[in-house]
Amino acid sequence: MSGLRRRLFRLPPDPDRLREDVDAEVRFHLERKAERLVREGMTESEAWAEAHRRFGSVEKLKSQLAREGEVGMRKIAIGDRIRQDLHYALRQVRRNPGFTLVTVLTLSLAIGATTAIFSVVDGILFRPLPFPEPDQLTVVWADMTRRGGPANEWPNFPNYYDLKDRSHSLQAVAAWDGGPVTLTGLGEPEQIVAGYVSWDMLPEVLRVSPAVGRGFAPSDDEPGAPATVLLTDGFWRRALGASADALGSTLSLNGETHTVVGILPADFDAPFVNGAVIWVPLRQSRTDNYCGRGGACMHAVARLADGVSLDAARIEATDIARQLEEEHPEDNTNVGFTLRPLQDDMVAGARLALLVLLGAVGFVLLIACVNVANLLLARATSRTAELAVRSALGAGRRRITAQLLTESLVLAVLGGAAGLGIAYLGTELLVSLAPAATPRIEGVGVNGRVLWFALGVTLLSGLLFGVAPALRTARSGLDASLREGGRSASRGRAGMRARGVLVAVQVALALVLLAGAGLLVRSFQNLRELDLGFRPEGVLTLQIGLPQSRYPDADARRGFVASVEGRLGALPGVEAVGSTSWLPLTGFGSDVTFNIEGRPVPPPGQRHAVWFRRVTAGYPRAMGMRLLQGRWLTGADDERAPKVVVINDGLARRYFPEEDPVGRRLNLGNPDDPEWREIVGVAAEARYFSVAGDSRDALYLPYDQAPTSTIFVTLRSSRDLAALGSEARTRVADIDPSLAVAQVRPMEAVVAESLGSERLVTTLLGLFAGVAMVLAVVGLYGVVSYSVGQRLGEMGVRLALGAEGSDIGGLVLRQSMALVAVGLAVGVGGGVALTRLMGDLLFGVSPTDPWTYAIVALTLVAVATVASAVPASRAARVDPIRVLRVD
Amino acid sequence: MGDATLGLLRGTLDLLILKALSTGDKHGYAVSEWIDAATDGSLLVEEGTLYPALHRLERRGLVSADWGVSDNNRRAKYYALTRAGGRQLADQAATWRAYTHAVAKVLAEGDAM
Repeated sequence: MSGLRRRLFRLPPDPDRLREDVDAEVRFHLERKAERLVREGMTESEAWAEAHRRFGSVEKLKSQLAREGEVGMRKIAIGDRIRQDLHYALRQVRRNPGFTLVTVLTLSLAIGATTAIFSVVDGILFRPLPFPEPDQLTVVWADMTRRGGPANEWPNFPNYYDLKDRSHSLQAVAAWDGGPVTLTGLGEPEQIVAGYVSWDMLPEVLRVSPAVGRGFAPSDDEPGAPATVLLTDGFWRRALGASADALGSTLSLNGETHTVVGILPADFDAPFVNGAVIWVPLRQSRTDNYCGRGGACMHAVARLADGVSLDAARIEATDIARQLEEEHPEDNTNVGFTLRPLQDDMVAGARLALLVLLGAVGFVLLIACVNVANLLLARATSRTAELAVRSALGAGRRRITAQLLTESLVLAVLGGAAGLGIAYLGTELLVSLAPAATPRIEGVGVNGRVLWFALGVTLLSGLLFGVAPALRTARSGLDASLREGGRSASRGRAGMRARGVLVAVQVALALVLLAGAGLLVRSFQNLRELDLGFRPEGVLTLQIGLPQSRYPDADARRGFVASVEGRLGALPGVEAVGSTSWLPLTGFGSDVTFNIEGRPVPPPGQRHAVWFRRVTAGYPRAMGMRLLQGRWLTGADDERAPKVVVINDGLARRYFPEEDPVGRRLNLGNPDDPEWREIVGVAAEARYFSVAGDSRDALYLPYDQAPTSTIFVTLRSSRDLAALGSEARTRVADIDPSLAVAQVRPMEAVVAESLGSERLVTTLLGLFAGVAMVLAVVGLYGVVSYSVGQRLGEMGVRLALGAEGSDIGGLVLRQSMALVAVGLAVGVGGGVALTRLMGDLLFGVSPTDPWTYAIVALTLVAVATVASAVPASRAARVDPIRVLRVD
Repeated sequence: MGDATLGLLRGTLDLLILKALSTGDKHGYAVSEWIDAATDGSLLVEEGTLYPALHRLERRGLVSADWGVSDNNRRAKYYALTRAGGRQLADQAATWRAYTHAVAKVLAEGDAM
């Protein structure tokens, strides 16, 4: 141990000292040797000569030792110095448990939160897709921008097949679709999500082969081919108990028997069809498919040919689109292809929110670092004496700076280590809170990249909060030295200036975060208060799929819906019951083009598209929709009655601005369709896809005039919806026990889910902003009360000279609020620049909304006033006699 | 080397020093005395060369050094074997034995021819 201690405390190489040591050592040796030789009978001078002879050249040796020693010691010295600094730092950390606890806690929370957010950002945005050559994967959309539509419209089979055949820069193009299917025959009927793919999707585009069995062959994908299915590993375990006999067994999906041909690998993470547990061939062909060239009904993903860039593929796709425009002007005029990297396309919706959150949590980390820097600066003043002693003992400024930085890094590493635990928990929490529709969320976790990030953030924050205090302290510590007794007024003031700047920075950062959070809160309020066009309170919804095999025709479906509505409507407490083909806010829907009777048919590419739903007579009442004009659809509007339609007021305003639409007629799809539908009413606009989405022109068709195979039944009731839900299930099973009833939930839950990501982002940003404000205010409080403590003497003098206590208090408050004001000014400037970037996240509020900024700034001022008032009142109550006597 | 004393093979000195210190902490002079006594004076160690070796071993952490007071009350630098030095000694001794054994065997065969 003594050797270790010596090494720890060895002084830096000192050539003189080294030489002296060597001299002494050699002298001792020669003396002892000579003594012995004398004892053996030599004379003194003979003995000395002999001792020297046996020793060799003393001078040569001495200089050799000194030279080697210096080089060697310098090497040791660097290692030693680091060890010594570390040792010293650890001692400081142990010696100030309170200080250590506060800083490590602050840092661990900030580093942990930052790392957790990063792990989500990394998992969703940066983590490469788990397929070979993921950069080659490209989504193909229909580009409708020249028609005033979106750049990412669903394509259709004819155009998809043409692209597939003609493209050389895409080595494979495959199609997919997805949706719920009813699984029967394995216990209770169940709705599961199925992905539909063309046979080449897995082997050619994604390059995934099944773990067991075979993948789809072209013959599986032909229209009318025997139905086959690939199971995900998870479904195979959950539904079939990982049975070895699964291969070759059959599943009944929507009443059709599917043969299991393979099981996908456990790590298969599909880049589309969220939640799909089974995969089925699409079974479409060029000539036999479910939508024509004018339609928008499927999705396509391609793989770029080796060595071909996305840009080259885009040029080629544009060329092919132009050919198709010429060949099929009726349908393809002004239709192009949009090619986007699959990964970008998947995460496009989440990117901005994630980056905003990462930026926000980075701000929190910065504020935490500033807080710790402030604490270090405050503590440095109390350590002036200690540092002065060290510098008097020969430690230079660089040495002391290095020492102080080492302490900061030790604190940072402790904070980072604790933060890692928080990051693990935080990541799990975020994953569990994330809305189900969040892309790629399943693979999110703390991985190697995240750990490197955490290490980097830790070291960076150690430097960030350590450098300024270390430089300041080392300088002031040396200047002040012992003679000032640690109470130098000028140094104190310089230190205060530094801390004042830090506080202003904190206030500025907190303001930016609060402004961002405030904007999101206002935006979220706007979304919640938005008139949805229906009243979700007290509405229960359930989804029922009617398998083709049992409900093959319109009559069967009509009969089923009538009897379901009859039975459910008879349940006690149910005020209204109705059904629709698509529930609002579930992200699904269908569109159709329409033509108004007596008006010229627009040229292809400019036809009016409108969203439509089929609804039963009770639906508007059950959902609480408002009728503006005319009448609703009624039970009398059945298959035998004249075709009728209710339009929404968006459509009415756009196409009938000057006239009464009720009584006019329109037809759907083909302009030559002889089936004209009379407009019988105008309904208030209702949100269609999402709460924040644009309201759209829409129309409602009577369910009975074209029954669909998926229906959503809605019940309005003042009863407890959960109890009602289970009764409703039982009633449906009474009618047909083979039907799967899915998504039994209150409409309010549907609304909440469609706002899930907005809610999460708002909550997180609000949380970060709250933490930022607390940290900033704690920092302000610390600085002000510290400054009061330092200036008690000055206060005493002022009071002795006749100042009132309130003057002193006012002075402290003014100085503190001056810092806050600077921070606010900087914060507003920075905030206006930064919140502008989040404009796309906001609904109904401008990114530079002055109200939000005003409220946020006032809040900060209020909190800052309270934080400064406490020390200010302490200053005002200073007893001059006592203070001056102490000094 | 017809002389009765043998010159030192390279690297041997370190081994001797470590061995000397394994019997107890010593100052440099005592190390030279110990080697002299243990080898019956048959190894010729120029005493001065002991010190660069000691200092080198110190820097390598195989021995530690402390200034202390000698038996006759003079300031002297005492060397002690560190744990790493102990391990090094064991290793080197084993190597040395294997080496000398092999060389001896070769020489014995040469004699037989």
